[in-house]
Amino acid sequence: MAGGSASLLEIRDLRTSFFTKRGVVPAVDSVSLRVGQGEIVGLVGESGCGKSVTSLSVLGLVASPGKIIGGHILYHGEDVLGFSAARMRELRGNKVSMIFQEPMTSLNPVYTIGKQVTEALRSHDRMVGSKEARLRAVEMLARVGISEPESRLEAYPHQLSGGLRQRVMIAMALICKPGLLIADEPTTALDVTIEAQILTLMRQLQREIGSSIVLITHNLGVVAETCDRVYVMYAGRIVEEADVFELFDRPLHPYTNGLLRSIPRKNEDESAPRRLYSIKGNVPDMARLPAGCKFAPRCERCVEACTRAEPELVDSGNGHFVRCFRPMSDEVKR
Amino acid sequence: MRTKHTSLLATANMDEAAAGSPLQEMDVLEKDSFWRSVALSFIKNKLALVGLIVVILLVVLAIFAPAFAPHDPYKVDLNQQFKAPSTTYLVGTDMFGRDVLSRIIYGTRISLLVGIVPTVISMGIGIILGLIAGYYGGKIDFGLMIVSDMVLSFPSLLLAMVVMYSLGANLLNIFIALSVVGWAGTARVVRSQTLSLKNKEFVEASKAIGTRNSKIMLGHVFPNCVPQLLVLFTLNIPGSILSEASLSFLGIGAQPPASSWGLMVSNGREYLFNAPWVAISPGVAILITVLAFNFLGDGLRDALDPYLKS
Amino acid sequence: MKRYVFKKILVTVPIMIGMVFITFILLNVVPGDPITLMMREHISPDVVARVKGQMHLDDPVLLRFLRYLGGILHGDFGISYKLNRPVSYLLASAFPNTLVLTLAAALISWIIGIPAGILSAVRRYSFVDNFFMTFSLLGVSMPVFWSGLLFQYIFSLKLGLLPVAGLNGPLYLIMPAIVLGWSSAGTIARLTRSSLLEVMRNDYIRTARAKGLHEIRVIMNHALKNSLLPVVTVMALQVAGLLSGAVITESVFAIPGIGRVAVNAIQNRDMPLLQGSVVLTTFLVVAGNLVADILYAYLDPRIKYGATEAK
Repeated sequence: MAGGSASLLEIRDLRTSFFTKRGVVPAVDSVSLRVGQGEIVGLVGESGCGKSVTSLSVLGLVASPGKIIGGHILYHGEDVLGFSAARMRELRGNKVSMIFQEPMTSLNPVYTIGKQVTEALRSHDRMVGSKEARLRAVEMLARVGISEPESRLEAYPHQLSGGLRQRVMIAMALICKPGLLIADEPTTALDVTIEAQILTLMRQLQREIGSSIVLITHNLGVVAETCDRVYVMYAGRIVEEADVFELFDRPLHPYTNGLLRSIPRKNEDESAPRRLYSIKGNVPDMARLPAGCKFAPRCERCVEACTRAEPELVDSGNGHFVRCFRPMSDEVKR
Repeated sequence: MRTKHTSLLATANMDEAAAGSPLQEMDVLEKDSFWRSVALSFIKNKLALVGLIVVILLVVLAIFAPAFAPHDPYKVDLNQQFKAPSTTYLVGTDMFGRDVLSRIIYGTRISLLVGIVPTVISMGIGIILGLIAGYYGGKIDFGLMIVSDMVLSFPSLLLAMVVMYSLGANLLNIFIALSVVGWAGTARVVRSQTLSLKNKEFVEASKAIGTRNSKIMLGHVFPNCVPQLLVLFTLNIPGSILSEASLSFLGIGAQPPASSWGLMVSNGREYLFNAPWVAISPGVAILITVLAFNFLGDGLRDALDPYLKS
Repeated sequence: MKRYVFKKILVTVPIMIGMVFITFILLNVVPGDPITLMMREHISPDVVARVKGQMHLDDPVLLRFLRYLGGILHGDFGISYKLNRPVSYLLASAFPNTLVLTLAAALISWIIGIPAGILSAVRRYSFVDNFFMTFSLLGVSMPVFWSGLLFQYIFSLKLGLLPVAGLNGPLYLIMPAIVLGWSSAGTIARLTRSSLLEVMRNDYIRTARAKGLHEIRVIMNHALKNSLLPVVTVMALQVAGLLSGAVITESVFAIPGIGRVAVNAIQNRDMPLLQGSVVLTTFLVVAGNLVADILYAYLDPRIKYGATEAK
């Protein structure tokens, strides 16, 4: 891994498992990643690969039967996993904030927007009076692009559209000016046009406030638009890490390559119609993972060695890491 | 009112953000595996098993009462009045020298009959009316719902009392009274199920190929209501049992010398101080029976829970 | 919101009338010409004559019903056959006793039920949970008349701590209220528990935690308000169950309330008195349901303010 004592967030060998009746499911299996100051880092993968659980682990929000069983999560060098409940609460919403995928259900329907936003502020700063809290809430709502913020304070979540609610979530998350914002698929549930607006907003706020962002998504287009660096996850492991341009130019892992190929593209050559590509096979059953490389069953480049042992994450130069015995080379890709 | 229960079928998809049903594609509901998995999760519930066993025991007791009862429940012997519980009379005797235990055992017949029969009848009525109301909608639905709202708004005991007043107080009329009182709840449940299923594709498909309405209702809509109805059935039985016991206690239900448990408690009341077993023990029988059905019903509901939601 | 309330009240009126109608039909039309029934009971000819005059039995049913309905609206519920006094008078003296008993029982059920439900949900599967759920299950499964007798046996006859029956002071209310309230408490505890558990699974609870709120705040502020919505509805709907139970409780503890009046009326074949008590009781239930609806609408902003989408 590239060195970085300047890292804001460093996750080392995180392991989070779910202890279900069907068996132990290793949702996050030795994941390591790093986020620097002011960086926007993307975490990409299909549903069920463990990207959400990774982010929830950072804030200690993994619900039973899930449990963090090993590793370190360092925020400004301090291991969050050793924090007391009180310190965790101080961390959440204040130094590290999180926004979620479903703006429709992430806000409490029986409280006003104003109450929920000011609550985020006042629970961390006792000195803020209700008047001042309101002012800052209005200011924050305006900053996230909500028109008529004063009147919106009195509104209830059900009176707002999905895009507006997500803006409110962002406002709530950023009002304490956290060092890190974790955004778990923030635009997946929104219209494409709204999605573009929200992403622009996030980039803008990131520049203004200086927070770092971990952007979790399964959508490579979003990654291309927004991120500085990218981690690709599969079956609970990081399989590739690179700077965003590098990743799109030179995807090394067959999975990443597959993802890129799956993006529907206009066919320039009309005489040779192309089929829509998709990676063969299905998302693996996390309770019954194969020995060896986890992607092997679906990989076009799989060989015998791939089924016997699991590859390590290897430095390919340029800050580009890949976990594969037979990474893509220039002639083979696309 | 659902107690959450971690389903066996909880998926391996841990992605918190993905809002989806707890059922994975591979757990497609085929009839056999459906009931098998329900049975499996039911068995794991100890209380539910206890309930089932007790209910079965009660049914056996009721059917073979003469074999189990140590004495004749109707035999009057004034020399044996108010004997305290002993080896001969396990729960003592009552004011007429009758063995309380034997009377309780015979009373099982009354309680079980009164629990099951009116529930079956009232649910039958409720199912038919609910299907019709939900399926045809419009004025029929409106009218039926107003009537069922009214019936539901009556405190059930009072309504039963009124019916008993009109018909006369005896055990047979209790069946009628309880059946009349109980249909509304079932009707509402079935109606709402029908409403939500009415617009599903498979119903429209059936209509498109010209299936008769009644066939659609019975063949497609009704089977989907079965899990919920099963739970409702098991949980309505204790209600009927308690209602009959209450009515008989008040003197508006079964009449002497029937060995209805409620009646026995009422008769034993005046001797509470000297011979408490006469009044208390039939009540224990009621409690055990009701608890057993409640355990059974709760267990069923928990086992069926993931399917009830979808 | 005002519109909603108005509409609800408007709907309630015909329902109430309908219920009075059902009661009337059941008592006046169903087998058993009242006169013949009374004759079977060997009631004196004066009474028979009086009743015949009162009842205008030759008039069509609908007319008799409307006459009765009109009477009710003026507070005239007819005359009791047996006691020869206005039913309204008899009900008026009995009503406060039932009211006191029912309110006491309701209070007990809320004060015990809701905290029990919360604790059970928060400490799921623990001893506390099992204890409260057993307590609730017992409450719901015990016949009220039996638990009443049991209480009388233990606390009055054996221990001499509380008076056996009657209503001559607040001390007399303790056992009946507990007996009646226990089953209600059980229902409320179970409902609160399951409602809270379900609410806790919602996304906005996760958001609240992600904001760094203390777990107590998450439960008491965010979860509770949402989970109490169905509980509040049940609380008001419990009026029906409590009134049913009151009939029995009054019998066991000899409390001179409406329930007792109704039971006596049945035993004495006193139809007007029975009819009056049933009508009054159903009125209370309908009023309770109405209050439940309004309360729910008030508490749930989605109904209070309607769903208007703003872009």
